[in-house]
Amino acid sequence: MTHSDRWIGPLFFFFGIFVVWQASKLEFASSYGAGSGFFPYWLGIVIVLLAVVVIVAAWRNPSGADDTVAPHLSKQKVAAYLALLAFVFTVEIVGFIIAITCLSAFLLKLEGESWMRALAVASATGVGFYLFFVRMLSVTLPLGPLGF
Amino acid sequence: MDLLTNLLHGFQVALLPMNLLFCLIGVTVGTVVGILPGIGTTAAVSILLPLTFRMDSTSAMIMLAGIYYGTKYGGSTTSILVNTPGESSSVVTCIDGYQMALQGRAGPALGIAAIASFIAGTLGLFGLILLGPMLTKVALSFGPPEYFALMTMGLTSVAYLAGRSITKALLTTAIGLLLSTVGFDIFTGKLRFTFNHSDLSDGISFITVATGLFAVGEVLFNVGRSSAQMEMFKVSSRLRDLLPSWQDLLDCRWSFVRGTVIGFVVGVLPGAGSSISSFLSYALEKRYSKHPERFGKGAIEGVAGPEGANNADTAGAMVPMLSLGLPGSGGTAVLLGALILYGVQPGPLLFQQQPKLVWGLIASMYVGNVMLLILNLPLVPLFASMLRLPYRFLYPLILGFCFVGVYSVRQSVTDLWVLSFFGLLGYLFRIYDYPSAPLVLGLVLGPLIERALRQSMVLSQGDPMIFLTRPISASLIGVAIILLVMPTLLASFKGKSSP
Repeated sequence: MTHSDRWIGPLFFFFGIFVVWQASKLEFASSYGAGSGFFPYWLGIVIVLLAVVVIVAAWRNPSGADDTVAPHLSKQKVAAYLALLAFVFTVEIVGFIIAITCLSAFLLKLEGESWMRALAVASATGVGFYLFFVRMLSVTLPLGPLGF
Repeated sequence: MDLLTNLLHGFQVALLPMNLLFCLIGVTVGTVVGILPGIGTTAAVSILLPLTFRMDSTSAMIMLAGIYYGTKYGGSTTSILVNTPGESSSVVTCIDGYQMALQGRAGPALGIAAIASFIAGTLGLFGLILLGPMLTKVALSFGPPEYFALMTMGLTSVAYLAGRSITKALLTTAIGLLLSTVGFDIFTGKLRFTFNHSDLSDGISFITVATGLFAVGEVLFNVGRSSAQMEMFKVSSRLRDLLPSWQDLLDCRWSFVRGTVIGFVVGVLPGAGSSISSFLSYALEKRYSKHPERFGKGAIEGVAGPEGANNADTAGAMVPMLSLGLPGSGGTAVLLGALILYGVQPGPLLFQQQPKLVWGLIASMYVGNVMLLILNLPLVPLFASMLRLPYRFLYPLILGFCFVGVYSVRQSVTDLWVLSFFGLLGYLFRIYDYPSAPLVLGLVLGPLIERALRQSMVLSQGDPMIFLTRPISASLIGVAIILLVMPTLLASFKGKSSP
């Protein structure tokens, strides 16, 4: 176990408690035998017990590996994830093709490409998706005001 | 005789022009996925699965399985040419494969990897043909308690072998099982964990979860790390430069056999996976070599053995998946999930009820291996040229494919939100060392386990001792318990033996 498990363990612990609480609202036993809450209730208990093992092991015997969030959560990653969320939020408003073109352009710019090149590659991506999925495979995708 | 008849019937199915085409598409996509870092087997199969919904289930499985074993061929290319494995199963190929490339023998290294993959992949299929139906006969006597015990043992075995910490792997397994309970309860018709959100009443699709964890999570992990262009060896476009010499083939003849046996046996074990088989094979090659000092300096057996092992492994992994309905990895879990989505009930009756699908699939793997050999030898320079494409151009494409794949299942934007959530979770799991594959396995097997558990409880009128009073289920539960306590026992044994 690592240092980070000292705070990840409690997260799983409370998640397990939440599951047990929610499962206890369901039927534990029914005329069919075990009820709809039986399986998730025991899974909640298992999660709580495993979380306790993680917490105890993390405090008693940490490996000492430096796995704090800082080196992993760069601004670039946060921006990329926010762009991804923005894509999901706007995809039904502007349509899939425009949304994926904008997302691609933003991600390429984020990786250091010039706006010109990012837009060119992203436009090609959008056109490629339209031709392959919409025209060739007839996949249903969210349509925008321009009809694609 | 039955076996031969079934196999011939399988070839009739696999050799239909449409199935040949889908097999070719599958193995080509598999090779490309194997070559490209940043996208793995599970992600590729999950992304492309929704596009197969309108296809015949046999053709669809032939294509998806082609992707699954095709990645193993492609994975070696990047290991040898750029010292970066395209797949985790090709990590060990970097050691001697890259050294061979440094010595100007990139061609023979790629050639021997393709030949070893072909030989082991083909021999492994004989194992599948012999062992699969045998295991099916045993499993036909299983009732719900035995199934519950078998799947519990399988999941425990995966947790034991999947990650560095069995506790973490069990946690992600439990979360996967829990996610499978979201939506309608199949027994009572009541809703569970939907929080009044109607989009969740049909449950959480394993396609969304697997795509999020393995594809979006991987993209997030690689953001900001892709600016460097890979330094790559040039590959000759002449076929004869790629063919290993007779001496090379003679040197490797036992490596092919050992790789096949290790790969197949490890593949059958749930959770062991092809990384373990390739590492074991490498260790064995070094152990049996007359010149172990050459290993790490470009020994061709160090490429042939592991590359064979990671291909025989795919045939081995198909044994429990097809005969018991028990997948042992993220990749086979998605394949099993695909079967369920096509309306096929996995389990021991599969061989009897779906002979066209099972034998067609097995025969297609032979055909696919031939295609891969033909594709991988002359077309290696073409595939290798894909590595020149910087990853930053690739990941918007990967994300686009993820969105299309997930959205096309139910045309629901909620699924895209779920995808984004699991993408973040996949990234966090990766950096905090929580394995994702057991979560997908739990999610796919969850409904089957819960059904077996609840049917057992009906049989026993609520007495949980039913799992311990029936010999087969008791033995399987016993194995699961041994796997659970093994790490603690081993740790205390080490503690006592060290001064």
